[in-house]
Amino acid sequence: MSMAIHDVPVRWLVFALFAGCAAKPQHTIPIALLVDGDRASLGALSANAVSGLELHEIELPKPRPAAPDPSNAAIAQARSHYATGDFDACRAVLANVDHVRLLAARERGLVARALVLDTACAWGGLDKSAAHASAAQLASFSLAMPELAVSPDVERVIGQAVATAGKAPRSPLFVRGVVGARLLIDGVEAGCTLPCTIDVTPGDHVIAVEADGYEPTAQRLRAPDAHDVTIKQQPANPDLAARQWRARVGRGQPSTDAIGAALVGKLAKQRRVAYLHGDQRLTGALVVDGKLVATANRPPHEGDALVRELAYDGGILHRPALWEKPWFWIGATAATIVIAGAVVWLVYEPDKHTRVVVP
Amino acid sequence: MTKYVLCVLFACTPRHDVELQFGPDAESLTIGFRCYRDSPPDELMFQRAVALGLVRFAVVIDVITIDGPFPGCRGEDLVKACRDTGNCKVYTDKGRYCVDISVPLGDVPLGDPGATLEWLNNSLRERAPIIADDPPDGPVVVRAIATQETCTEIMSSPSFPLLSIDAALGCAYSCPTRLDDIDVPLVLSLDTLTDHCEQMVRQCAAFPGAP
Repeated sequence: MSMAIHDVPVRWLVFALFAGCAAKPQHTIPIALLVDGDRASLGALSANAVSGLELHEIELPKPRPAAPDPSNAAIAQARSHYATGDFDACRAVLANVDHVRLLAARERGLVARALVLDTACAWGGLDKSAAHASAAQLASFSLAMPELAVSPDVERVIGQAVATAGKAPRSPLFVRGVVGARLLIDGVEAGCTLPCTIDVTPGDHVIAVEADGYEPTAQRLRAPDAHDVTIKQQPANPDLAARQWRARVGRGQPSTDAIGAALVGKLAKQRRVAYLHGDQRLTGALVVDGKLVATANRPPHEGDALVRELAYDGGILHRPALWEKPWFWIGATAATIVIAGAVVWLVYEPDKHTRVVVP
Repeated sequence: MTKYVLCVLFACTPRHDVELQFGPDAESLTIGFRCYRDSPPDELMFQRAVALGLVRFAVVIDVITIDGPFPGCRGEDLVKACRDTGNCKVYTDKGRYCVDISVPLGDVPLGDPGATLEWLNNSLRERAPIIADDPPDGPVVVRAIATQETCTEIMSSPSFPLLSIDAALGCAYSCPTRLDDIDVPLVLSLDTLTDHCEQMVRQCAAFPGAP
């Protein structure tokens, strides 16, 4: 009977031989490096420091200086108009103040000043219903009375509105959206994350949600007409993701937990990102498609080995089998020589040339 | 051991010398070379080598190969082994060791066995120090005979005839051994309990018999 190539051991042997001799793929896989901490402790990390990978380091976008809020100027201008008795101009300027944006940004003081001025200008312009409406909003938002010089009548209108709001029964408001997003009601932390139910006074309210990886969103609603609200958030752009990630790390939160990894994936604008942190010991994490796929650590100055280990663990590179490593064959050869030597030592009997001699 | 390791590495053949010892220890001559005759009982067999003031004899040393299982050392064991296999013979592929010795009687200290041994060793070493070069690896017996025959007579026949048992003056042999395996002197002696051992010498000289 002829030797069958389909015999399992033979097939495996043939496979092993060809696998061992097969040419390695020539193309390289790009990986973005996001380096943090002591850069020098990583050692040299050139683009081709790891065979099979093309490394390129990325930098976090620098934080932009905060632009002056136009609301401040608008409120100052409105106050000036109020002082000169130009109530229409006062209200026209205040109409441009975005209460929703300001409350989402926790600028409750600015909103309070704008609403008090709007109440005063409406009262001065003899539009009493508008004055009551602005005062009601101030009360509904639970804003503190700012230190503004307004007429006693205006203070009385506002006081009535606050008293009315305080007596009104509260109603539940159920807010849905990105699970885990932080909820703000009228510029104040609601103390819960979505999905969340809060009790609110009747009237206008601004609800805002913030979640890492998403654009913050806010909207105005009226209670109790709105009692079940769903707020949609858009995914964060790379700049925002970078700011959010930096803020998380600054708060001491893990840099590459599930949310951190998702932010790293967004900010790098790459499918594969290796986050390396240089310190007394190098730590690294590999993020692929916004998901953490591998973590590793190494002694200092072994940045290339750290990246290689991450690529192996993350399945980007094929980890060479034991028999594909040079030292395996060196060791196997040495062991074979030692064993062969021992066998020869134990069993070999040289052919002696014996002579019988006179003593 | 070191030389064997080096030979493993360099594929050489180590040399291994086996010294003969003509007696139970290095200072004693075997009784096989100082047997008394049966008649007259007070005469050494070696006395027959003395003539005209000279001591004249030949020393023949044979390597006798033994086929089959390794036999014991006693004469009976050897005889049985050779009878069973029928293939005990003197190894003659590289000739036969034979040395003629003829010296004045005064030079031979016959009365002193220790001195006689030293004299015998010196005499053989001076004439032919190598007794057998690369003998067979199998079980062998080494036998030494002193005889009145001369080497010329002994070597005259290409078939190396049996020695004359009547001419034997002394005889001793070793236990069966593998020469490659021993690292101590090879002791030659005669399997006897008395120094009146002429018959034992004759039987020793006749071993292993006609092929």
